[in-house]
Amino acid sequence: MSVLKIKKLTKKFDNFTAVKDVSLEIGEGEFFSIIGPNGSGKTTIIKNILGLIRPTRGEILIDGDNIEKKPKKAKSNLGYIPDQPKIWSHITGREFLYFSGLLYGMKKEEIDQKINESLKTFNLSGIEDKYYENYSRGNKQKFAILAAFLHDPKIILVDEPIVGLDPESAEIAMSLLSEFTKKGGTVFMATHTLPVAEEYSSKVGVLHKGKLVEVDSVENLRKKSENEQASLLEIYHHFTKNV
Amino acid sequence: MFKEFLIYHYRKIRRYFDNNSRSKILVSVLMLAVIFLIALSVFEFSRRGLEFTQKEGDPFLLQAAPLYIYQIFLVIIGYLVFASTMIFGLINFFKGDRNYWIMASPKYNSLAVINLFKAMIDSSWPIIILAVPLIFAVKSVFELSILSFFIAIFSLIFFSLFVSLFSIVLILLISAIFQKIKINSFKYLAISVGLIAFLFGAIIWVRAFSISPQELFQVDQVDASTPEVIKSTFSVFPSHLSAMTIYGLQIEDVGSVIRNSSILGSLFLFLVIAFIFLKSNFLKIWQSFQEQEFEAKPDRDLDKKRLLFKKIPNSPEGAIFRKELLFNLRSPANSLWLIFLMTLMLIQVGVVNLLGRHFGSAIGTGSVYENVLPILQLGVILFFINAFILRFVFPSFSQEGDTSWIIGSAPIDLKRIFMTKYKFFSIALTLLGLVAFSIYVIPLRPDYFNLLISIVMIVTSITTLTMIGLSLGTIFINFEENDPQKLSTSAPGIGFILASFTYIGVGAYSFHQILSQRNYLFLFFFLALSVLVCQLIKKIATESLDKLEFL
Repeated sequence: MSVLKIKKLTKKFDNFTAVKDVSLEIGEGEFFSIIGPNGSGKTTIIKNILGLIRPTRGEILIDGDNIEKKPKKAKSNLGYIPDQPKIWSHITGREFLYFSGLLYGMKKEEIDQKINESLKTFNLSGIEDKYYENYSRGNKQKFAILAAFLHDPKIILVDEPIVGLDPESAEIAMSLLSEFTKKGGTVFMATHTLPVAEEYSSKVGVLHKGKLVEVDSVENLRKKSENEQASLLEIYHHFTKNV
Repeated sequence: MFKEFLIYHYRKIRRYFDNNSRSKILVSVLMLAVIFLIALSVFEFSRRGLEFTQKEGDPFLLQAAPLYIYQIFLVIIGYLVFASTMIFGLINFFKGDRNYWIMASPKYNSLAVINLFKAMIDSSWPIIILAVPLIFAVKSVFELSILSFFIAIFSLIFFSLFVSLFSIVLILLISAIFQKIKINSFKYLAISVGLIAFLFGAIIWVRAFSISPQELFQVDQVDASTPEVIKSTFSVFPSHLSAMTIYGLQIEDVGSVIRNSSILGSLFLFLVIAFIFLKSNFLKIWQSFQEQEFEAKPDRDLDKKRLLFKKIPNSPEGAIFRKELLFNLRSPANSLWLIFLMTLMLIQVGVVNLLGRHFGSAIGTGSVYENVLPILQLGVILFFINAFILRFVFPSFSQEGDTSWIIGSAPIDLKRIFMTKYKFFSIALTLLGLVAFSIYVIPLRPDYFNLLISIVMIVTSITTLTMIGLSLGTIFINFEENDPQKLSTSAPGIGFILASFTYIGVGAYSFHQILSQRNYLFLFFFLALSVLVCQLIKKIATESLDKLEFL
């Protein structure tokens, strides 16, 4: 069953079409990566799914709920890790996690318990009561990742997941996402770090100038590109050269 | 480096007009018009005041009254420059976003000089709005020569620069002491600076009002000693030197002009030397306040230790409420602005109260005491509450900017966030307004009915103004700008000023009708108007939230 359904999504900014007629279906337990260069429309698609911006045309269903018509229900099933995890000034990491949990309707005791558990994941214990703006970029990213998982969402939307993370933390983050899909969760990841997409994704979408050119597993994409050894970069070039 | 700094700012101003130039030119013209109107009001107020002092035939009064006006005006202007330089200077020195580029370069010391000039320019507004119109009024009443007029203007500008330099030297001195005794906390530095600014305000208040204007200017008691009493009272403030220069120009005492200007010049020179000395150590001082970023002590668990937090429900609205509380109270810039505006408000409320009591009882009419003073106080309180709304409430939604993904992606209706912000700000500002109100109402001892009416008027006005400010800030949301000062001076910010002044005017008129004519229909009219305005503007604001996109 598809947990995320995008039907003919188009997003225009004045005369510029950022996303054009994108349709997708992603099922439970899938790790979907959307790849493309800067400005290809990856973040715009994620922002549409999250309801941060509205589609010009088309619709998005989260576990059957339309993000425009039932935003509260749809959003409660989403977790978001932005590429620039900026939060309010003068708030500590723990407070951010706490606020995040409350915004998603969690109980205080549940949040406390989850925070204590999750801090250990990234070895963040000890810095959680310092101001967030004083953290390194990587630590900010780690807190954003923990916040996204806090309320047990069905889908995690990730925009450039490992930017700023040290190699060890990047591995932890990717394992976390991978584990999440094994438990039935769905990951929608936008990235141009192609080796990461290649290693973890069950399905990859190739985005070029706002159009979804091809969607399939890496293996099938290789077959379609007529090169069984092709890297994701070569696959990307293959599908976009004539567009 | 300084040349590059000037070029950068020149280009920045030009770039500002690159996009939407028509609306930006309109905003700039509106801003200039507002400044001009305020300056014109100050000019007219000063001119009439000075002319009034000249109507009495007593020669001693002719001398003493203008001198008192200069002293009072300049001590207030000096304090405004001092306090705003302390705020701008502190933030620019240690928290500026672009400081790293300069501090990482071999020309790191130029940051101190650049920030000194920035602080001097940023804090010069009281001179433009208050002091220059005063000099124009002096010129108009006492027919100063062109030369005397320019000397007076120059003296004021020099006084403003002197105060800015004094404030910057004070900041560097305090931060150097902190660095020596290894207190690297910017928070404590900001608190210390805030306390010093408050202390200076208190000293000025106690000293300047140690003489009663009513007793001082009893016609039969004014004699040759009166100007001396004024001089000795104000002689402890540097503003005295500038006031005496202007006074010297008025009475054509060249010796006094040269003497007082020379003393101010010498003090300025002394401060320049102090600044150069402190600047040589600036890198070390700056570094120590950056180290704090990485060595911050674990913050207290607010939830466990602060009772206030336990009262806030653990709900999505509670989360927003807590966030607003922490965001506004923990920010050093916000705290300093809060202290600054509160100090000004309390001084102003106190001044109106004091003058009202002196002059009201002097002319022996109870009506001034009972009818005019409360309206004046209401106006003053709402004027300052308006300043708070413009600085804190109006930019509230726009300031979500880079962090909008948090509330935007959460399953919470933006209308609920709007109402939570409204509740937070209206509670905080109503409490603040009632504190200011109680300061003047206790000495006035009004009857219970008047007291009740006054409270109703204050609470209604503050909650309505808060709704107008928050709604206009939401309707004209601007995620491209994060600086509350710039957001406040945008076209919608000016729109808010005009809308709120109109509302305050209607409120003051209604209040006057209620107190003087006992016409209680105006109370119902004002309450109905407030409810209508709130509902209407809230509807427009929440509808605009429905269409909002977090680009």
